[in-house]
Amino acid sequence: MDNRIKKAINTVELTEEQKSRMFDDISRRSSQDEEAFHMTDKRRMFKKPLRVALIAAVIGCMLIATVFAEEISGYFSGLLTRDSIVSESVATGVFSDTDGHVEMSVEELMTDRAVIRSVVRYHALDDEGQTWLAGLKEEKLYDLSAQHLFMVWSDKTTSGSWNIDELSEYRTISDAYFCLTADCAGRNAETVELRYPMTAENRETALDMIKTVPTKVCEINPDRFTFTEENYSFYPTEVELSPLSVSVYGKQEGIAYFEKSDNGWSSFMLIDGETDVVSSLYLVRDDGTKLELSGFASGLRQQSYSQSYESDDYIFCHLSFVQPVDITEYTGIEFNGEYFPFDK
Amino acid sequence: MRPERAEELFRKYADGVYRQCFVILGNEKDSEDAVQEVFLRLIRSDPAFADERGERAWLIVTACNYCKSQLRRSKYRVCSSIEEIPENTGVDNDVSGRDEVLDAIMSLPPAQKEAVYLRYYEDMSAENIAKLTGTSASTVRSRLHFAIRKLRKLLGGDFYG
Repeated sequence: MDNRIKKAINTVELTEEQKSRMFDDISRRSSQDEEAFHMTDKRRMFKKPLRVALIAAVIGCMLIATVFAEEISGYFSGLLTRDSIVSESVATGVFSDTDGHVEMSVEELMTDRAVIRSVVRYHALDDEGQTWLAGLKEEKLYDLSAQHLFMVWSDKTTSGSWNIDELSEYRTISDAYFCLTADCAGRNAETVELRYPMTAENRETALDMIKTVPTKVCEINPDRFTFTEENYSFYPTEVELSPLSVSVYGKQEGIAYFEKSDNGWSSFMLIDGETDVVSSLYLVRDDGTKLELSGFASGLRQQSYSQSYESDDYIFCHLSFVQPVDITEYTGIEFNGEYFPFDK
Repeated sequence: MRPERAEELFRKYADGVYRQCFVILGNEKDSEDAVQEVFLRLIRSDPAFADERGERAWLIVTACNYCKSQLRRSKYRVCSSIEEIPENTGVDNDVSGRDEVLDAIMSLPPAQKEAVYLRYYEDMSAENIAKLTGTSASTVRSRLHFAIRKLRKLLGGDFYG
């Protein structure tokens, strides 16, 4: 059996010098972490007797007790709603659930019906909840055989992806916040499935997408294309742009795939031929500058799909923006050097 | 986690994690940083593994997720003309002395490289790769199909797939 791939990858290895240096660095950084943790712990311990004294003083003086640092650190005041580009399109207070030990709530959610971004909060209601919450970590939530926290479109037929990032700056002993992203080409989905862990079990629910971010569309007349190759059967028909993502739809008669070639250019390859039919694809701004529509371009994440090898409807590319973009700045797309404006 | 245990795990798995990160990220510096971050997370979270398989799975998933987050965090770049668009950044261009098969693998897009690594080096099924990467098994198979096709084109002869 051909083990060339395995043999090739096995040639990549660390030298002993690299390993020693790296482990020394790891040890140093983990010691620093531990020191910082113990410092925090000492501050907490110092404040507990202080709190007791204060409470006694408060009761004695009939005054209201104060709140201590460990209970208000990293106060969350919104994430998606802070971005002025999309703040008006963010749904807040979307969903909540509790099992008596923790409360899970979807604090914010925004979507263009291809990309969903949301902020989920877990709040511990008792000691058991706090203990469970301490074990709720971003890296463990990717283990789908155990706990999982993610959103997926429940009524899409094309493939998609999901991601979770903890907003660690807001982590306290009673609270944890996570930013969830789900991404799937092809719009007009209505519901998303949220799967989330509670202390004793995983649960799931459906969320209706009522509020969406604004979108602009560019329709492309195929008569504008000059087909110079006999096997050129592939052309874009529509571009949809929202602050969260851009999708290019098209028609094709052969089988094709959006792929990155050696020189870094995006290209669409025909399976039965080797001709690259698209050599460049850009979003064009009102000041004339361009954004390359490629998974390697900065600020973009690549997703690429085909709906069916038999269908002639095709999603050329679907890319989501790392940060929301102001769609009023974009006037059209440039496809193989030709410019197509967005509809007014 | 006890220091002795941390060092034992590092010595046992550092090469494997490094290979995975190098294939996805494409350069030595970023891969070293990724390895350190993965093992720091291991030390901080100190998970209880049932067996070696569990250890390995945890490291593969964590490395995969960290590498993808690093790829996402590249800076926003504005180009005013086609001529200004740079070649792929972050990829080691010094290929002298490097295995030609490895060169060919490294020329693949990140999603294809990741699929090739997980399928042919870690012997994972398309279904498990799909769960790990948050895609569908059919997307994984498509990526593998096009990756192997390109590798065949670059290297010639029979190949996996």
